[in-house]
Amino acid sequence: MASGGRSDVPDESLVKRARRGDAAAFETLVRRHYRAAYAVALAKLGNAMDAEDVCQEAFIRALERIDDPDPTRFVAWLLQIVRNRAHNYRAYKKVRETQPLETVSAASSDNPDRDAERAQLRTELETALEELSEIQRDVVLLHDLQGWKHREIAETLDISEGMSRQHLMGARRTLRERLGEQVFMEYSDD
Amino acid sequence: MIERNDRTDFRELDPTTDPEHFEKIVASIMAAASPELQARRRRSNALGQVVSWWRPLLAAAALTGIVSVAALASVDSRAETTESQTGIAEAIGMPAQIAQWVRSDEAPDPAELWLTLEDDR
Repeated sequence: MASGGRSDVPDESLVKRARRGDAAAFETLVRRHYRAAYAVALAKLGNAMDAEDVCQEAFIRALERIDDPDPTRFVAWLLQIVRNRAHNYRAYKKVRETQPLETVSAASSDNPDRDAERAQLRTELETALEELSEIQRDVVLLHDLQGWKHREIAETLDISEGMSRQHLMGARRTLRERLGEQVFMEYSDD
Repeated sequence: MIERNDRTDFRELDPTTDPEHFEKIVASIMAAASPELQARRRRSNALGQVVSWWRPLLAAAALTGIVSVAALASVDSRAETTESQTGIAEAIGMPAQIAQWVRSDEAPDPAELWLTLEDDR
């Protein structure tokens, strides 16, 4: 499974250490898998701030239950927790007391024009994402935001690689129609 | 229709592109995770102490067991030897003299055998 963390230590070893309360190991897992978790949460909720809240809850929940999973399948298990949390998000906004991320997200800068422009683009992206089906959002966010390969997406979402490619094409087509070329950049596909 | 292969630019929605913002997110998660991590460390330490006590205890118990088994085996074998010297022939009602001939593996003289049987009657 893809890993975006800064350490080469395998998930399996980090999970075993986190079970014993090793904060550094757990932090590495958070850094490594945050973006994948966020992509899944964003696909479900369509809102960046809500997705961040859900990710925080999901990581805490994952730590509480970290004795459960097969350590080699940690990321798939984590993303299932994110999905469940996102699904129930509206029913319980806050399950536990955590530092509200709104204050984190609302950081001000010295360039209000640029901030307004970025906020506008965020809103447009979120609105365009809402027009996609849930599976299309999952695929396009895991592929284009998280950077996973189709093989990894297929494995995690329990679909074929062909279907993953098909959903990605459909999602990009819709996003291009809605947003134009401004939100696309060249890259080499897998 | 020709499909373009360009990646969607989600950087505006990606919380990890701004390092300062991402560090705050990680710090927030770690702060919320702190009580659970501490509890796990405590449990792990307590378990570790029990394990460290159990190792020498188990070794001592195993040693005691081996010594006890060896001692019992030694006592048993001595008891068996003594019993076989005194007992089985007499226990089934054989006259002592005959039992002695059996054990010594010597054939009795016919006269002695006659006398022994007569005495026993």
